[in-house]
Amino acid sequence: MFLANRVVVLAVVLLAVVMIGFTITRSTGTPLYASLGVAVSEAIIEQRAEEMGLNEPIVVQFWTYLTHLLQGDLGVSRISRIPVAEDIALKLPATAEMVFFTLVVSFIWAIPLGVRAGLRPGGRLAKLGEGMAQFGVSVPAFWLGLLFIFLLYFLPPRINFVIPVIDLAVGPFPPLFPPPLGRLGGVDPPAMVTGFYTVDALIAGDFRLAWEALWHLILPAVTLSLTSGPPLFRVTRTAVSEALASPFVEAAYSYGLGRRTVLIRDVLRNASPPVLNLAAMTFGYLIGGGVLVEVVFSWPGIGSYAVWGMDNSDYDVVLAVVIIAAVIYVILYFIVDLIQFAMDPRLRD
Amino acid sequence: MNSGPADGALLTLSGVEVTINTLSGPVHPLQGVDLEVFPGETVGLVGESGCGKSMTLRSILRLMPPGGAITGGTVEWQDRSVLDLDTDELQTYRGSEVAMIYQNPVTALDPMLSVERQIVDAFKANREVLDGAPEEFAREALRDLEFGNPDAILKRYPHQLSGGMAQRVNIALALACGPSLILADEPTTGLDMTTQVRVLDLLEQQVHARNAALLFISHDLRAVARVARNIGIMYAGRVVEFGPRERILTEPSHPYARALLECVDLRTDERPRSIPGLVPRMTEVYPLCAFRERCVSRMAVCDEEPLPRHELGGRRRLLCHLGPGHD
Ligand SMILES: Nc1ncnc2c1ncn2[C@@H]1O[C@H](COP(=O)(O)OP(=O)(O)O)[C@@H](O)[C@H]1O
Ligand code: SF4
Ligand SMILES: [Mg+2]
Repeated sequence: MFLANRVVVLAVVLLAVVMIGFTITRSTGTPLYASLGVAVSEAIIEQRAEEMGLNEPIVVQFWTYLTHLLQGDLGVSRISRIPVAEDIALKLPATAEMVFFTLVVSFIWAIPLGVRAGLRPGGRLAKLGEGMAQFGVSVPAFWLGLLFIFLLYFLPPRINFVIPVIDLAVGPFPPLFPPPLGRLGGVDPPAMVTGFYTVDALIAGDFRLAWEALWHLILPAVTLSLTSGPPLFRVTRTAVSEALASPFVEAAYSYGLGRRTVLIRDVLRNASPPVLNLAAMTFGYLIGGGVLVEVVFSWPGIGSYAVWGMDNSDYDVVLAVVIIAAVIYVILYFIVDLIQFAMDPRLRD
Repeated sequence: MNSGPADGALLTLSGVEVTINTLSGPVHPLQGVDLEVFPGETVGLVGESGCGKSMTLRSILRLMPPGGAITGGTVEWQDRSVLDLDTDELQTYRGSEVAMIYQNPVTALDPMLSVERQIVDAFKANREVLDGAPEEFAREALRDLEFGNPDAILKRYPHQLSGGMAQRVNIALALACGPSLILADEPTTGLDMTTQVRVLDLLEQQVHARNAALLFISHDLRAVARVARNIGIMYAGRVVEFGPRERILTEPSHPYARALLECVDLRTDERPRSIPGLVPRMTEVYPLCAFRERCVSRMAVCDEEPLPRHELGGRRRLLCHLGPGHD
């Protein structure tokens, strides 16, 4: 029942996304000039419009798009003439890997600090977390990315001077991180299995390559984590402090259960649903919301791809990215629902 | 003031003070609580809401809310000081020696864990060796509380229990730990009349069957009068009068006790009237009598001298300038 309900709701949401996206992309100017240039004759334009089905009523065009979509056909890029689905199959894993590592980084700082801040408000770690959260929400992600690139890639090789009195030469240092030019520095990628270079390299047994891929991931992931982690920190803090103040936690202590047991069995368990929910939402949001960071790091993901599509008025590209981001959102939501369903007995009745 | 543990008492509180630091300043809910509980007996504490009854129970278990601390007095369990127990000893003391039953039975259970898991975990925390499967003990524990189909209840989650069932589960949980003192914080306040009577009867019966003592608190004098042999009257963080039930119910000495008694008719179930005036908010320490503003017997000395304490023999005690021998 629960499952059936969800599936129907999700299908309706997706259909709405496709309809709205389709209407917007089709109603903002004609894609003809973009693919042909402006210096062409009326006749050619007319012929091309006929070919592309642009003379059909919009409803018919939508129907055509939808039936193709359901068969996995997302159209063809009008610029590169490559099927959009093929491009997305290459670029989506790049974005997904970056977003995945972003969450890994957030699980390293935002959630532990949030737990700590909930358990001990006003403590040093609570203040550290709040400071990081304040910083994260007040700087733009692309700016932070540029700052990291400047400080950790650009600057070290340019430090080069001599301390006068003691005659000590300082620098130049090697860059701490690779140039912001994509997922690997000119090396061949590993054979495609999952599309995550770190994982594929490990599958191929190439540890150097895995390390290289990881090294390229760190700066974009840290950048995105610092700017998308603050809500995770705050929600974790609130959830933990609310759970901690529950009567059942005091009752558990009163039966003589130890602090560790109560924290894991009662506090963290009861605090986890909202955190899990937000983590999934953050993942979904970053699939499309990390665009500027992708651009800054020349990350060949679907965000960069969408920007490229927009630059060229390549509407099928833009629409496809919107739909893919929505599908991912919806699937994540569904998975989180399933997990919460398994965890929380109240949802099962 | 601190006279040390009374001979043979299970639990002795002397001059217990609690301070809670809140964002809007300190609160002083307990301002010198004296109380003894002897093995196997039933003691009741009664007082209006906000008098510090729940805080008294929490201080016995050393369970303080965030920002709260026991800032004065002593809590003795037999001949040990509860305030000096280390973490391990405290864990053993909680549950195995003293267990608590809470006012809201549903929120006192973890909503995400089955009844079975909660009882079994309490068992495991308090019994070194179990001669049998813990699930079997959990089933027995529920059967003691007159659950006809314990197996079905064990599989349930708290939201699937009615208030009365949830409170019986809480009682089973507390008893499962095998304590010699049960603290009951208004255990029937949220339940309807018939369920109240049933749950109280069960509680008394099970406590007596185990020779455990019961410290029962309620704002409802009738509920306390039903179960307790000795009754303490609590006001503004102090037990202002203590004595045997018959004495407290027929000729109480403290004006507050008399006012409480006048508000209820013990022979009917009518809703009690209330005493004019309000319980203080406990943001100050009151060296003088905190009941002065509401007291009909207030004298000049009440506004000048700190509250005296009269030991009246037996276990009777009175904190009032009137003293025992008036009218
Ligand atoms: N966590 C808390 N923070 C601040 N004040 C509290 C807290 N808990 C209780 N108090 C205050 O302590 C006093 C006694 O409370 P309580 O022991 O719950 O009373 P009772 O159980 O008799 O109704 C009240 O004035 C109440 O407002
Ligand atoms: S001490 Fe005075 S004011 Fe307080 S209750 Fe007794 S008579 Fe009343
Ligand atoms: Mg209370």
